[in-house]
Amino acid sequence: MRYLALPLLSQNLTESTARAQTLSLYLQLSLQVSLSQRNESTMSSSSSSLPSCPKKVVTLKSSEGETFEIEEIAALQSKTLENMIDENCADTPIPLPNIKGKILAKVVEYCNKHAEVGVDAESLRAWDAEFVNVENTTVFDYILAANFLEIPTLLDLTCQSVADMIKGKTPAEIEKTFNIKSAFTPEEEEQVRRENQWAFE
Amino acid sequence: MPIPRPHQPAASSPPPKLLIPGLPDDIAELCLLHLPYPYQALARSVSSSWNRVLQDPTFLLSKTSLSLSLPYLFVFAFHKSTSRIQWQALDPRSGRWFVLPTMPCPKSACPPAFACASIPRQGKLFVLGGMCSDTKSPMRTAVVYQASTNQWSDLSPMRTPRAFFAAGVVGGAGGRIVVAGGSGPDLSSSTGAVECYDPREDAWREAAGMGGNGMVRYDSAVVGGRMYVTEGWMWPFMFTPRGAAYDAEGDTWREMGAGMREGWTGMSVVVGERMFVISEHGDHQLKVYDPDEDTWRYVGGDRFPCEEVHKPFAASAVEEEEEEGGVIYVVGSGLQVGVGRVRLGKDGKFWVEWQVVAAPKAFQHLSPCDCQVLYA
Repeated sequence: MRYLALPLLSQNLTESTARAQTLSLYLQLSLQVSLSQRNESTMSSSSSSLPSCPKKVVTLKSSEGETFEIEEIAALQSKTLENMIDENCADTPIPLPNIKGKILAKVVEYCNKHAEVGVDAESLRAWDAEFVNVENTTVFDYILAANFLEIPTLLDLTCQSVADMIKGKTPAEIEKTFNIKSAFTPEEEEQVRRENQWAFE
Repeated sequence: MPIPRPHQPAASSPPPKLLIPGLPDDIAELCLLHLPYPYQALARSVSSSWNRVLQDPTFLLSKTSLSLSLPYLFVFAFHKSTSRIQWQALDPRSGRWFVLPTMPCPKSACPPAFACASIPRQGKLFVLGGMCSDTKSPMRTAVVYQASTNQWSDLSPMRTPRAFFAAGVVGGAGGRIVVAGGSGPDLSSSTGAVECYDPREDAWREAAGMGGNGMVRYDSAVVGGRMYVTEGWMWPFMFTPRGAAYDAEGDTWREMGAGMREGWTGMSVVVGERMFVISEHGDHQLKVYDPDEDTWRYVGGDRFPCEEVHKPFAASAVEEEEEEGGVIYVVGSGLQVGVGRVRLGKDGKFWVEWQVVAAPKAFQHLSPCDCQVLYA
């Protein structure tokens, strides 16, 4: 697999640089995933001639101390885990204090599903749709886990599902769903309302 | 890309409210970036912080660089009986139409007299010139529509008033708008004046004139850094139409090749480096221009959906690089849209597959003037 050299996010970045880093990291990761997906598809066609290797497994520990096993192949979808595997830090259980067991189990399920070979795009899309068909708070937990573990496909899927929650709702409904205070000054509100007057069929 | 935050006052103030409570702001912005057109613009009404973030110019840049923006077809139409102008956007993937806010223009503007141009990747379309129906005098106005904010704004007016003229964008994303020719101060004359607009400076500059008395446009197209203008075939079809080609880099005009002039018999679209026309007469066959031989060839594949899509046509196209082809949109009466997927076959010949996107009943009295594809 070819790698793009990516900097690890350090903990002490200022807010705006962290944001810039997230967006640029997201872009680079998306590029990387599409590169490796292309490589994988050329590799899988010739894999039948290779001898089967023993499956390596990585152990993850949730915030409550529960452990979950994930095959290395599936774990590679997480840039964070991939780096650890590369640096040989993945032989002992990896603590993930930010992620609850309930969520980690689902994230492992997601990675396993997306590492499967021979799944057609249509059924994978349907599976993904079911995966995010959960409560808002759970989707948010998935987003935060995907962000922490740097899994671009899961991040994309979950952000899109939040966008889908927003799309089609009136501003009042959006404020209610996400518990947002509008905080407009009366002049601002008037201006936005004027500029946003439109209808659709 | 960092989106600048407002300066925090020195006195102790409550912590800035999160865009979406429960998510850090950079993640919330990623979610907002996934909002499709036009919901992104509508979401500005949700809160002051959403309004600020969604209007920021770097927001659209991020959307483009993350490949989250998709092509939409923007159609300039008017009511057949009242000439009232209405712009609407079609999401070709879902078949859903969105009516745009009213375009600023004089009440009695004559719709076909305007010229449109666009910078698709920036989500901008420009509507220029035109004519007032009562005074029959050409106009100098220029307005721009931005998909990211769903707003029309005024631009510096053109130097020469024009109606029924050619407009195109040369130089891609960093490019300039070239406007050429058109009807003069009274409709019986035409002008050869040409000018060039730089969007970054909001300024019009004179460019090399077309020569002679200029030309009233039937159709124009930009291919490979050149803008081609033809006056089109006029009844009783006795004389070959005049045509001219403008080289943007060299700021020079020359006569259009005879083959191109003679075979340009319908609305044109450009897919990548190739020009196609949808023949105005007969079965509305699709033709592609071969620059090496200065000739047009028919494109194989499906018949044009003549039964569902009727003249007058407005056409536009978007390239699909990975597929080595593109999609051609032909908008007909009542805003029925013919969608043609064009591919280059292994034999080096193009072929097309047509589908129809049916229009809502509410659009049946609309007639199209122009259409543009924008990424939003």
